[in-house]
Amino acid sequence: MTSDLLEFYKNMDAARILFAFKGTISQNMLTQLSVVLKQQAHEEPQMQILFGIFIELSQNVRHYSAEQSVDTQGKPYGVGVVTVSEEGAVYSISSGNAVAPETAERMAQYCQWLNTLDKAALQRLYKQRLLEDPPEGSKGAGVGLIEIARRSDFPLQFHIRDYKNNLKFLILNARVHKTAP
Amino acid sequence: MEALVIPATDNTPLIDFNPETGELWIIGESFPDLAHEFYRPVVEWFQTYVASTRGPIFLKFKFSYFNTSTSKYIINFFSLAEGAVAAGRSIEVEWYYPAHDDNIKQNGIELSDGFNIVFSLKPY
Repeated sequence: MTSDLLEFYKNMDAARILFAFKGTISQNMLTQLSVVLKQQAHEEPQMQILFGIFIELSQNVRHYSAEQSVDTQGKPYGVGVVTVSEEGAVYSISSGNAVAPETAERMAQYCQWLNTLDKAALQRLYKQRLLEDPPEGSKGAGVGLIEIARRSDFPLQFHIRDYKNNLKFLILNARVHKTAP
Repeated sequence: MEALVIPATDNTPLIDFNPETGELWIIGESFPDLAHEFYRPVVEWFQTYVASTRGPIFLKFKFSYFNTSTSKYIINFFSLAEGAVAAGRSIEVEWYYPAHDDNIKQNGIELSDGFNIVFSLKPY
């Protein structure tokens, strides 16, 4: 790997990657990163939006990835990848993790459906789900995606790739303007 | 009833519930790993407090950020407050937001919408 590190760096540079994390999405990592992003959020209000999307995507990976590892306290947690990159005047936030094929299909359909809704409809859906779901219920993925969709300035993007052990690799992406339109 | 005080961490807010004054503060960042583990005892304290006392209650939210699973518990508080108000209890909900942060403000308006509670916005 050491000899390939330059290639790896060049690829990241070409993809304008500002931040990338691969591995167990620990709460500690999220917390530390939040401190960094929040400092920037003071100067850039859009960073607050970016941060919110990043947290929801990361917590999805953490709770729902089909690949698991154990964190420092011995608790099982999802493994995956999260990135923040630049695409011109846009920040792009992505997550990738292994899921069962039926989950990948369900998530793709869910994203497609969310993309058909306008901001007002997403807001109503968000409120409705919060009222319906008992707080003790799911860990929150459904509502998390609605929140991501309504905070994004562009439609959600998703890709499903073949992965090992009959699993699929689900990539979700959200994008926001660097400066508020 | 004993006060409920839980110090803030980097991802959970300060809980400062004072049974003497009825001032119940939730202050800071909220994106706990498992929201129910953090909030369930807080909600239970609130339910017990409502059931076992009679004085006015001031529910004060002062978030700098909260995630979607925290939203469910904010809704939960509004719902419990609405029920108590309907039963004759005096409850005021105050929603503090950073003056520069329209998101937190809008979130408060949206989440409280439809609940029959006294809700006021407090920029700081």
